[in-house]
Order: sequence, then C-alpha cells, then structure tokens
Amino acid sequence: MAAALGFWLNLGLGCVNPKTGGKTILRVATWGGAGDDSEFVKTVRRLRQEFEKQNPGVEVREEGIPGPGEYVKKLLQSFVAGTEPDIITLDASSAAVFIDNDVLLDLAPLIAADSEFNLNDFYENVVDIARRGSRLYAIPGDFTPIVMYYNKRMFDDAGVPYPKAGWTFEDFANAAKRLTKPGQFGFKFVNWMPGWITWMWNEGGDVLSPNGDRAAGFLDSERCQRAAEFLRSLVSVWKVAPSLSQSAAAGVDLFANGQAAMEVSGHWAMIGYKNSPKGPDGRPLLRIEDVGVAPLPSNIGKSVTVMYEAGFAIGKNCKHRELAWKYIKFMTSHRVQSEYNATGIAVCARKDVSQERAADERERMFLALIPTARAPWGAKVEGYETVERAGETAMNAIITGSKSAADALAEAARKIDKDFSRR
Amino acid sequence: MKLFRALGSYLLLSALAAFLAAPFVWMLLVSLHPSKAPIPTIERVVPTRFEEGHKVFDPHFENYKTVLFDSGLPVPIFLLNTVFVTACTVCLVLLFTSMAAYGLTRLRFAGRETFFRMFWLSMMFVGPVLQIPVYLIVRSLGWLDSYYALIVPGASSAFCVFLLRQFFIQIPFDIDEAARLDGASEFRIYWKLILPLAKPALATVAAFTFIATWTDFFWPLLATNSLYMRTLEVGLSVFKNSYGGNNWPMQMAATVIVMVPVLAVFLYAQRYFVRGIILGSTK
Repeated sequence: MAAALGFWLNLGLGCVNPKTGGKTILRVATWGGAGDDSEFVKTVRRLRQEFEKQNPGVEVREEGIPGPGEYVKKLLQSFVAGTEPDIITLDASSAAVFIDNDVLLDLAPLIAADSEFNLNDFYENVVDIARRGSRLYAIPGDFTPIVMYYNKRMFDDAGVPYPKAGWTFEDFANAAKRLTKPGQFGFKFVNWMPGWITWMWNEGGDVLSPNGDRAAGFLDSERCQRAAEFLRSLVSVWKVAPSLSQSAAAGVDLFANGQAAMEVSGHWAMIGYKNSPKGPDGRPLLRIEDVGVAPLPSNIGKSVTVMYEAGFAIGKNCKHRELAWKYIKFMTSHRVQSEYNATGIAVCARKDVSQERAADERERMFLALIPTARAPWGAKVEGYETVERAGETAMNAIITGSKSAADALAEAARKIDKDFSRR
Repeated sequence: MKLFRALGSYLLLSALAAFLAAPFVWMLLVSLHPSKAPIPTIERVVPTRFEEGHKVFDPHFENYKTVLFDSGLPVPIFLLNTVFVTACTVCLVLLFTSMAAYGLTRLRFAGRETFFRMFWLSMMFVGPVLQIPVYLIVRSLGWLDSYYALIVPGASSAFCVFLLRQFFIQIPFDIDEAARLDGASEFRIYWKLILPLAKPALATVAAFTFIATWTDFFWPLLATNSLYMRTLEVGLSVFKNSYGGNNWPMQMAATVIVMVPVLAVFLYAQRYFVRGIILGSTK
C-alpha cells in the first residue's frame, strides 16, 4: 500500500508543478473533440505536432473541455482566477460574454504590425462576428451556414423536383407532404433554437430588437407567430415531421438513418452522413452522393441563414502573446486550413481554401449562402442562452399544442425581457 | 390465506424491482447493439441478427473494447485516476471526519457546541456558492491540474462529521472512562475503541463518499486541464457530444463502465445507506 502510494505520489502529485523541461507551454482551449471521428482527431494532432517541430522548445497543450455549456462556465471561471489558457477557441454562439467582458486581447494592432498576415484573405462577414468597432477579438478558423439537406434518392422516388433557390415555405411544405409515407418523414424537426430561428428570419421576423436589448414586439410579433404556426403544422397538422417525442425516442439523426427526406443543419452533419449506419443489407442507410444542399425556404424573397463559427482568440493577459499570434497565423494559414478542412468538418473562413473546395457541388452550395449569412445573436448579446431557453420552452408548448403561438411567444418575450432587465 | 398474502407481496415487490431495474437492463442491452445503431424499439431491444431464417442473439461486446482502448482517448488512465482519487478521498474523509466527530463528542472544551453548529451551518451552503472560492484557493496553492486539486477539497465533509457525531454519541461514555483509568491516551481510545465500534457508521460514510467522488463531474472538469488528469466521468463525456450525432451503443457502453463500480459498491453497502439515512434523521 505504502509502495503504491509512493508510486502515485511521485508520478501524479509531481504534476503540481508541471515539469516543462525548459519548454514553453502554449495552452489551447477547444471544446471536446470528436470522440468517434478518429480522422479529424488525428489531423488536428498532426498539425499541432508540426507547429511544435517548426518552433523548437514549444509544446502546444490542447485542453479539451467537453460539453458546450460547461465550456463557457469553465473558461469564465478560469478568467476570474487568472488561470485561463493562452488561446481560446471562440464559439460565435457564446462570443459576446468573452468579448464584452474585456478578457480577450484586441488583435487589430498585431494584424497591423504583421505584413505576413492579410485579413482580406477571410470572408468579411465571418471576420465581423468578433469585431467591435475597430477592435477585432478573434481570427475565424472555420464556420458553417445552416442549410437544408435533402435526400436526392427520396426526391427521385417520389417524383419531386429538387429544391432550388427562391423556394417558399409553401413549396417546402408541398414537397414534405409528397415525401412522407409509412416509415419515412418529409422533414426532420427538432426543437433546437439555433436551427429553427432561421424560419422566423425567413418570414421577416426576428427574436430580438436590432440592438439586442428587448424581445417584446419582436419574438411575439405576428411574423414570428406565423413561422411558429408553420412549424407546428408540419408536425401536428400535416404530420410530415416526427413529433418531438418520436424524434427523442429514435435517439439518432433520422435523416442520416434514411428515415427523413430533409433536415436543417450545419456542415458538421456531413461527418455523420459519411459515416451513416449500415442497414441489414450491409449498405449505408444514407449514401453521401444522395445528399443535396439547398438554401433555406423563404417567404421574403431572399433566403437568410445563420452561421456558426469557431475563431481563435488570445487571452488579454497571455504571457506568450507573440507565440500565440504565431500559432493563430499557423492554424489559419492556407496550407493548414486546406488539410484541416479536408476532414469535412466545416467551411473554411479563408476564401482561397473554400474556393478550392468548390469543385464539389455540395461545397459550392455552402459558399453561395455566405453573403446572406448572419452572425448568431450569441456573438452580440451576452447571456443569450436565456433567450434560447425561453424560446425552446415556448416552441415545445406550440408544437405539442398546449399553448397558441401568440400566447407562448408573448410569455417567452416577457420572461426574456425580465431576465434582461436584471442585468 | 397467509400463503396468498406472501405470494401477493412477492409478486408486487418483484414487479416493482423489475420496474426499477428496467433502465439498467435497457442500458446493458443497448450497449451491446452495433455501433451507431438507433435507439431500439422495445421489441428489438435485445441485439439479434438473422441466421438461416432464425433470430440469434448477437451481442457486440467489442463496443466495450472500443471505448476502453480504441477511442483515441486514454480511458485506462481515466480509470486509474478515478480509482486513485476516490480511494484517497474515501480514506482521508474517514480519517478527518471521524477525528472531528470524536473531538465534538468525547472531548470537553469551551465552544464545542459552537464548533459543531459551525459545521452544521456550513451544510446550508450549496455547492456552486463555494465553487469559486475553493477554485481560487486551489489555484493560489498551485494545485490546479493535479491530484491535490482532485483530492484535498473533498477530503472532509460537514455532512459526514454530522453523521459520525450522531453515531459516536450513542457509544456509552463509560468505555472511555474505563480506558482512561487504564492509562490509555486519547488517540488510543479513538483508534482502538471508538473506531472499531463505529464500523457501521464508517462504512456509511465510506459508501456515500465513494459514490459522490466517483460520479462527480463539474469539479474535476474545473480543476483539471490536461487530458491525462481527467477522471472517467469527465473523460468519457465526449461520447455524449461528439460530432456526427449521438452514438447510443458507445455512450451506453461508456455509461456501464462508469456505473458498474458504483453499482457494486451500492449493492454491497446498501444497508449502510439505509442506516445512514436513519442516523441522519435522529437527534
């Protein structure tokens, strides 16, 4: 027992003052990592090692924080205690809390002083996610506009033409009705606000006032009510989408399992599609060549979407500022991004890399949507999770029919404004 | 009549037991489905495949191998970390809380009751209130990302002191007097007399601490940064949110791996749990 304890004391408790062996440790916070996508994990690991080789005496220590909610909580706490990592992977959906609390370094002076780095290599609206006036707090790595995926084989079987730009809610509902049959839904709906907010935008509404300080008059507006009513009809009236409990009971992505003809999601979903489970005949339930990408249907003449993005930011009190900047430049360089994006995880924020991948029809479709893609509210409004919580509670009541869209959204707007007024 | 009544209660209890055990059985069966399979409907919950027109049982035990060794994560290290941290925490809690309880019951000193009330009062604060101060203390000691951070903050517990004090009070004080007359030191009385008599209460404390430490998620997440310092609960949580949708069989296999030791301890120590609840409710 004593020997075992001694072993552990030497081995583990020695970590109290980590032996760096004279090395400079660059700490990089990321969220989780892909548990069952070894190709992606391997690529990221290889790129990190390459940076270490180019910079002798430097060790890049990746700190994976699992869980999206926990990521923000843990990082905020480490900023309070002054133990934050050097580089933070900044998720656009929760960027405001970090940017507006002044814990990140303004990168604009570093960019201005660096002739090797050109911000024009990146899509402007993607860069703007982390911009406040002349200050810039993150360099975008990759991102994804939210799109409509459709299963071409199911469309062909039902004799329904593929969706194309300019389609309306009505066109979408008609297609979904014709694609629904026993064992197959026309559309997969989940009560996930980052996914359904775009239906409100494409009906001409929005959930908050333009400066993001009020929900009353916006979330409960007639346009938002119409969008919510439409979603309820899909599930409860026309029954072209599974009920919320049916979706939950399936536990998997019905689209990736060949049980739904359309779904709204981001580029990351393609990893799941490529690894679609196999049916009893040994063939994948969804063949990647059957996956089509279309803009979201819109009733306002122009399809609007949201983009979710991951950028690289440096902590304001980072001790290895130059090294951190070098790492960001390395990670956002043309060559590294080419390799990173070959994993299929997202769309590269660099124009050159994205254009090179445009030979693929699906990738080309994503690029066409970039100009109309908006930053998520969470990049602008601190504590936006309160809006998402209230929004999803309201949508639940609307879809299950326990409240009318008008009542549920008005109640949600009151709750959000009450929470905002406490800040 | 008696037979009927016994039969009735057995039937009722069996039905209740089956109802309560169902989620665990479900978890085990789903963990044996092929990787990435959807959540099975109830009639397909047993993993089967067709062989010459017949359904045969087809468990995919390789899911466990994948989670433990092929997930790209150092799961055996997570397991060792969890065992080490839990073992140390349980031993330290037993030592510190029993000494505190001994002092609060067997020693007479000014302010003893005030001390006890302070312990008692500290139970009124919920965990999140204490999290930031504890984190700051651990940081200023330079313990973040080390075993110290995982073990020391949990090395004592007001609840366990309270629980042991309730038990120690019931041990007759004549024993101490007799031992003192025979020349036994205070430590000897504590170690040789009180502790052996308090075994059931100590077992309760050990079981509570074991389960709380083994299943703790948020503190190990906050206190550690590097992958090799993660515990099972934190390390395996990536199976919940990996890209490409949920992989239920893998997630359930990971859950079984985390749960089995807890379940074993619970089954072994369940009478101590019941005893602990009774102890906590008296006096």
